[in-house]
Amino acid sequence: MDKKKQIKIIVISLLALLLAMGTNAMLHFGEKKKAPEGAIALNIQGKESWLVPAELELQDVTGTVVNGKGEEKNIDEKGISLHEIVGDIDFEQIEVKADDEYSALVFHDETDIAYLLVKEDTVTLVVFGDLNSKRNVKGVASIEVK
Amino acid sequence: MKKASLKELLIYALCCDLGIFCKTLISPLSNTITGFLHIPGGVGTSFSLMFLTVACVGFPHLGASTLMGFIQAMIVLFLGRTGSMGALAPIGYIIPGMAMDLVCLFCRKCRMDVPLTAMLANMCASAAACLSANMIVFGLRGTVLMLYLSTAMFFGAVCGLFASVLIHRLRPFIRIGRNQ
Repeated sequence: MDKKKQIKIIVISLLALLLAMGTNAMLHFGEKKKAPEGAIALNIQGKESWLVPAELELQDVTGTVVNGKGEEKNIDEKGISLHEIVGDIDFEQIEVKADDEYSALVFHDETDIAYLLVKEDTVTLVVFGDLNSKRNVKGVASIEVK
Repeated sequence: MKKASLKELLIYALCCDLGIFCKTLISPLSNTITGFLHIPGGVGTSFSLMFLTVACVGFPHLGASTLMGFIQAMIVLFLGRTGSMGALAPIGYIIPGMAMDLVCLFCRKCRMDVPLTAMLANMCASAAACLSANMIVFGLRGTVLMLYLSTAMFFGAVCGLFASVLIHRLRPFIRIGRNQ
């Protein structure tokens, strides 16, 4: 293949990818609704609202979780259980999503052992009894009850 | 199929290790970019695949990328560096290797030059890595998936061009394929 042609292909490809990235970024940011400072988007079966961690009645949360390396870690922080946030409604699962779109599912019978730990500006989901840290969602940004 | 020489095998082994451990080095920078874009990753993966590209485009042997991906998978399993993918982490290493092999084969058939081959190989491998991670862990949909994929492909293309520069610098010490 001619060298000049290959250089043209490289430049055009890079520009096209940059354009695609920029367009997708604009669409993605456009979809994120404007939220109060530090608030978590809460969607309970279609009803949308905001959860402001600073206004929650936090309780002491103690227990043991397993970190990414398989080591046990003791938790003794302020937080609130998912059961208190969601209430006594009938649902299948709760999807807790972080700011970087990492998400975890919590099922109906687990809401009493799933807590949102509030530390300064960061809200973290922990589910006691898990054998790994896959459901330890750091920087919770949205909670959707399905 | 030509047998790989000891020199080539050593380069493959070195690039396997670099691909795994250099990802940690670039983590702060890649997290800055992905944090800004609100996506789970894509930048570090493209950088780590750059070393596979250097080895596989510099020493073109059929199946080399897949083999290197497999070896990387075994290394991360034995070292316990599987991250959130857990026991399915090998899939996230082997699939990009296979994608890179297919692209390199196509580019050799079309007699493409090293920069274009390296760019396409790294770009497609990055896209394959992101799609496999999405399938196993993230489950992203819609615009966020498109953003994740396009970011990975862009940085994959850029890292592929860096790989071609490295191949050019290593030229006195490595054999380049007959198309170049």
